Amino acid sequence: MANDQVLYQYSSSPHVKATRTTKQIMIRVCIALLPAAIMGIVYFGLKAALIIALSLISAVASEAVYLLIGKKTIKEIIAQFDFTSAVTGLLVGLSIGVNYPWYAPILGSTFAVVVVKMLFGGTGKNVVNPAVTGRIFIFMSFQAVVGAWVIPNIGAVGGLSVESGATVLGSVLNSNLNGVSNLDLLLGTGLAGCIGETCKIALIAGGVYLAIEGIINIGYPIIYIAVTGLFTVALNGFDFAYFLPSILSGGLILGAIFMATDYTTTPNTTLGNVIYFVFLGLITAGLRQATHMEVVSFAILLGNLFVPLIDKFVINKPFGFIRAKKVKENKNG
Amino acid sequence: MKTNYKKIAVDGVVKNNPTLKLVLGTCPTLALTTAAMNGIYMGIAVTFVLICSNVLISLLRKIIPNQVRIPAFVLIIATFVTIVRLLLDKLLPDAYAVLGLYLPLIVVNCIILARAESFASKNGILPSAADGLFMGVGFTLALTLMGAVREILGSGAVFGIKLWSFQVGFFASSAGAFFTYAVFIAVFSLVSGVLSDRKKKRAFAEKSAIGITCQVEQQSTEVE
Amino acid sequence: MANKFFSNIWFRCISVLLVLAIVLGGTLAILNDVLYVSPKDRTDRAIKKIYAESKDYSIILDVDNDDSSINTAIEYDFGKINKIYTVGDKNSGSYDTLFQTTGYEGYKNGTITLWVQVTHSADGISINKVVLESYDKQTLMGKLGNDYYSVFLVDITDAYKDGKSFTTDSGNDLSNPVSGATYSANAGNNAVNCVIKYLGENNEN
Repeated sequence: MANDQVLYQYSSSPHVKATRTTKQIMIRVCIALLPAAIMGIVYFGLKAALIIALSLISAVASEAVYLLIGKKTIKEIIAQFDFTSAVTGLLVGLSIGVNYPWYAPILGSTFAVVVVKMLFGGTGKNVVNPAVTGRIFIFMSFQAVVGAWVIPNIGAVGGLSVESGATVLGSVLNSNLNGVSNLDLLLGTGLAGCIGETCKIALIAGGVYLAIEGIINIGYPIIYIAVTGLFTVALNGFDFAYFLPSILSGGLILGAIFMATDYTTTPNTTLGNVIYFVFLGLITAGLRQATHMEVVSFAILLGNLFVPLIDKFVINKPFGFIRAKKVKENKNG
Repeated sequence: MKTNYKKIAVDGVVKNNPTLKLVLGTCPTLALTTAAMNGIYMGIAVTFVLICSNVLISLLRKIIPNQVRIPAFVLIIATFVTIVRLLLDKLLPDAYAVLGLYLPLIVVNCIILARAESFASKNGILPSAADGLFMGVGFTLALTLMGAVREILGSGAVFGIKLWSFQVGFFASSAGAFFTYAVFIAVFSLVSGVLSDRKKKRAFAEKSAIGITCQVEQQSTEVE
Repeated sequence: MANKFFSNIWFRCISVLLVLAIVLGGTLAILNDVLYVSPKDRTDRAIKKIYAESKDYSIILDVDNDDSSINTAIEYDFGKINKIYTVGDKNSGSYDTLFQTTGYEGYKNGTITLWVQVTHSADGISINKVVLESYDKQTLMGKLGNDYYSVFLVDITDAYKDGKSFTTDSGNDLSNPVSGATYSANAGNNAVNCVIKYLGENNEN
């Protein structure tokens, strides 16, 4: 046993890490979602707050229970809690309508966290976006019970008038553009829809905050939204009046900013990301036209499944790689 | 040579359950488990075809040459599937309406061809019939259980009797079919793993009572 | 040498397959006759499905019947009526008419065929029971549950006069949508609308 033997710590790259942890990033995402959550509660009343709270609690609790079953101690669970399940819970809560039964967000978030994230290996190992899948689960399961969308009133905190109406998206898809003004669409006043997606200003504010903090690249959601709008315009005979209503209605902005930009389920390269978001935009617009339904979550799910393919073919140049020049050979004969 | 019918039975229903262990015939499993009753209907049809085709193939196993065994098996299986169709249409029209397209699909159901290939073409008539019967029973049990779970969760009913109005539409859909199937296979392998572990431990305890050295102990833990 | 080889393996293979095919095919032909379900049996079955017992009926229209005067289906744009039976005494004022109708415009342009039991009485005409007979190309039939069929069980005395018909749009009296299976619901609605149109046109009151 020599005294001067130094023990080297052997590890693989990356060797230089930023100080920001997943936990810090996810906390900031939660903060970015707060304006949308608050506006949702303002518009849709206290039941919206209940739904968001139930969704959040059940997401976190189901992850904890899963880890407990996997024989981790409470201390370990708290130590490795990185707020990703909180983000999933918030997103699932924000993407369902206010007239869903109380057990819908619970079952949806549990499904999203346990099946989509934990069963596949935990944070960073999910194949598809858990919040998107949770939303689809709820949509598939409880649509029959729910029926129509609810139109909110501002200040409905006290009570809620349950008038049903088609969402603006429904009218736009049926080529009825005269329903709601663009300003109303932006502010979300008097619009029927999911809790989090009616007030677009709040969502955009959250997105800008995330961009400033460097958590998402603001170019990508912009590409997604723009391509959706442009393709919708193209599909409707190049009538530019369709542009703003199509991007401001439905769950597009919520999906583009918060769900499609999830780290695990996007490609690794810049070019890959551009391809991915353009692809998402095309699918969203195309499917919306074909099925007259809100398809953002389905489009994101489809896109997620294509990401490994994109990653396989779009490879960054390795550091120091010089492409050998092709030498034209003289062919005999 | 006495055939161990108990072994055939345990094999068919539990140890080598065609749906949950061998994962054969997944197409009708996923499509017809929307209701528990469908599982029973399908199970009846498949069991009938299994027994009959196993018996006939076992009868003819010395006559059919090896090169054409697959076409011969398919001929025999297709005949019995057609007979089942005719019988169901006459005697159980409800079953016939419910099974619909999946009745002719039994011809290409992997379970029947697999058992014909691996068991009936090599064993006698009665053991083949028994194997067909118990494989069919295993298939029926698996399908009925899955159907019951999906029906209870997805439509709030079981065997057509409405229980409550709480429904999770996910389980009635095709996505739910895959999910339920996966959960069932997981639970089944967990339970059978626990049971076989217990059996191994008991066998090992008996062995060490006779006095086996530490070396063998090391070897067997590695194998496990 | 070649003869021996021929008669040994391939000859045996082909002959075994041929014999199998002939024997099995013959068995199937016999069984097909033995287990044959005639259209009359099918109608009796349908009546048992609706009434839970056999009843006497008189045939007004039946596409499976050999009599050419009554075997042409009544066709509309959105569906057709295949069979009309009267159960009970028409002259008594209180009787049933059984319709087997096929509705078009389903998913993938498929169809749904229903049995509709219409009760005529002094109070008017109403649909008493609707039973599914068969469908074509519809994949989501599981979504058409009791809730869907129960919407049909209403009084339709003036439905045709008032221009009302079952539709998948929401907001009117006879709306019967099914979320996620709109086309199939549409075909089912069309099948029942054939009944409404027929009764209205024939002024059965």
